Amino acid sequence: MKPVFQVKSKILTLLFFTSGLMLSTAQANLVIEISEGYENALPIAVIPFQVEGVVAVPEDISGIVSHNLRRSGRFAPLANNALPSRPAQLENIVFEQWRSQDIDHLIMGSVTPRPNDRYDVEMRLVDVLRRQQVIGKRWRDVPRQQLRQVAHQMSDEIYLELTGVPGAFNTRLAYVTMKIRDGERNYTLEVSDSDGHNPQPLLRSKMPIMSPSWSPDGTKLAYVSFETGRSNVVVQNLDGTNREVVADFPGINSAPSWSPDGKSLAMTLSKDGNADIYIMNLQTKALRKVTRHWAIETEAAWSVDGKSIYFNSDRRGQPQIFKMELDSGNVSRISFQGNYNANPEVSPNGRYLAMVHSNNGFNIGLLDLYTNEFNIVTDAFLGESPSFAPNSDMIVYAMNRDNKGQLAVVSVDGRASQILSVADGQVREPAWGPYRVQPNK
Amino acid sequence: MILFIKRHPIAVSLAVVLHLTLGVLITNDWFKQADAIKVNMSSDGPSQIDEVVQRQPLQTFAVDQQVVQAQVERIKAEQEARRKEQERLAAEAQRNEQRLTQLRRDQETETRRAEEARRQADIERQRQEAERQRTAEAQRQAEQARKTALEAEQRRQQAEKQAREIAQAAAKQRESEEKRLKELEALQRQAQEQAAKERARQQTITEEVKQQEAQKRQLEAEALAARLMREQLEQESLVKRLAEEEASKQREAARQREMLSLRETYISSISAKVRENWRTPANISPQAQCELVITQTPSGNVSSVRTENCNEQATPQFKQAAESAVLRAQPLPRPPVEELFERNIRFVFKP
Repeated sequence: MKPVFQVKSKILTLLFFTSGLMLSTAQANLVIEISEGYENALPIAVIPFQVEGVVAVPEDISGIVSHNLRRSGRFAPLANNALPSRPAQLENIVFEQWRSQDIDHLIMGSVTPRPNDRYDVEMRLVDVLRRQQVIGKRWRDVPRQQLRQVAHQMSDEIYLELTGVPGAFNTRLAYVTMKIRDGERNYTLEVSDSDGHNPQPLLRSKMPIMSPSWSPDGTKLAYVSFETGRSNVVVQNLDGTNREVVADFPGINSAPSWSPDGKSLAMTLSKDGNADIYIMNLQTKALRKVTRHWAIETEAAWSVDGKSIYFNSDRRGQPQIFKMELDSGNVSRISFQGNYNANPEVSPNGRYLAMVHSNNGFNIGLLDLYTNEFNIVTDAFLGESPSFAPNSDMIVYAMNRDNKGQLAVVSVDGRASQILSVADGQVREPAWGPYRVQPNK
Repeated sequence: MILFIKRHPIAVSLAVVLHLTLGVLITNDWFKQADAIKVNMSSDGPSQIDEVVQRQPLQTFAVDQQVVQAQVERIKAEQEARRKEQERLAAEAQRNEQRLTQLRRDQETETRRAEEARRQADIERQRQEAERQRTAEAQRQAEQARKTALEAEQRRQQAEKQAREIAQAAAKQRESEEKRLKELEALQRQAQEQAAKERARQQTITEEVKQQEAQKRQLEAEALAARLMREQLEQESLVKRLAEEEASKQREAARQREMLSLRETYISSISAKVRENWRTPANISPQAQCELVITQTPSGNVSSVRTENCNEQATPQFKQAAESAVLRAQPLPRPPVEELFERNIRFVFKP
């Protein structure tokens, strides 16, 4: 399957869901279903945070943390009703109690309402085995809207402490939902928290929206829109401002990819008759044609150092991944496994190259650029559009299950996975955003 | 030569004497001949020509060759001279021969007569002399007989006297001899007794010595036997002791092995329990490895745990998780034998 055809086929697939369904304007959270976890997930107890005062707290912070830890697959939080006690202070902890429950770590904390719908939040991570506090943190004057984000930050801190890897909970996902309402397809480009909560629509369209790409600073998205009936590459601030069509050339305008320094956008254009990769200076809009080949070159992905790009080319008959050094123009083939490898994506730590891999069906393949080891990390679903979490530890990708487009997250070791779906529609084209700028602590 | 002389002094002496004698004789002859010639030459009357004796060559002896040769030559020369002289004399003698022959015949007749007279006188004188001699002899013999008889008497008396004296002396001597003999015998007896005694004593001593020696030998033999026995015993005891030591060593080694094996079992039981309690949310390299250093109480509670000698793959999360696994494994397994309890345990841990 050639990439261009793939793009077209996506369009066709999307066009297929046209008739008879209502377009929902209401926000609909991605629902996360944890399908796989680690066998030796670490037992942990997240004690519901104590609320100081009488005001109800709008967010269940400890619940968010617990959920985050559980969906990572690496932790096994104790159910609330199984907690032997709910100590609020360190000195109240009866360690033997927790040891007998085979609990190694306790997370406890408190939320104290402040004036103006603000809150002080406190969290402690306690090592039961060593009987000591490992983390103690306090967030002051957190507005209600940022309470979830604080919970995600806590999760990241805990995850980092216990796994050595920064968590990717305090991050966002961009994706496109398609809901059919009143016989019309309604596409929405949305950005939500990494747990699917707090989705924010960025663009609504009757026409397909594709290939969102995060700017490195996490403030902008580039994407492909068919609003005008043909493909454009659009750049837009996350708050909805400064929407700009940067590529509206004849033919294909697709697959934008932000350079690591945020100044350029690689994209696929066919304005000269054949699909090739171009790099646009976003300041000047100047284009530089990078590939010059009769075959189709598309789906560019930047290397971490910004000095080369990985791309998909069918110059050998079937799509394979190639790498071009931008200074020299040297091209080398990267993928050798299977007869179809497309849609390359470089992990933020530079170690892995994810791709859509097909030998029999489409799965997400992972090439370890350090060891040249290739593994398939997904199983049996039609996978596409892989995107790395900023900690390089997980990949979100689109898949088709039960004839319905859904998102899935898989750890790079393939051992943990979860599925994100919307109740009344399809969800596709995920892009995992970078770390968010930290709120005040 | 000197050696020869020394070896045959008599023969050599005889040889020398013989030579000297011959020399003297020869010289005498020469002188006699010379005298004879002189006599003949000076004689006015019909001279008596002596025949020149044809001298036989001298018998040579083993004398000095040079001397002999000189002698011979000298003799030859002289003989030659003499021969010529004789030839001259012979001729002269030939002339005188006939005259002389007449004279000699006359002389011979005279001489024979004178000779007869002288012989008659001699016989007479000889008869008178013999008569005188017989008388003198008879006188002398009578005298001699008287003298001899006297001497015989004297000698007889003397002999008698001597015999008496001798007899007396002999008797005396006999007595003394007997006495002395007796004494000697006594002495001899005494000596014999003494000798016997001595012999007996010697015998006794010898026997004693023998006995002592025998005893000594026996004692020595006994001592040797005892020593041998002792040595054998010592040897045996040494062998036994060595065997025992060896056995003890082996037992100890076996016990050590058993203890080591038990200790290994003990350590691995701890290690196994730690492994059972291993869990971590972190991504851990399968190559990660650390030594866990545990201090425990006798009840198996962990006083402290730390990681050491970790390899490159061992991340802080791995180390922490390994330590956590130890803490989770409390109480640590008891040792199979109480004495194997070790307060400080160290083992390699990998996930």
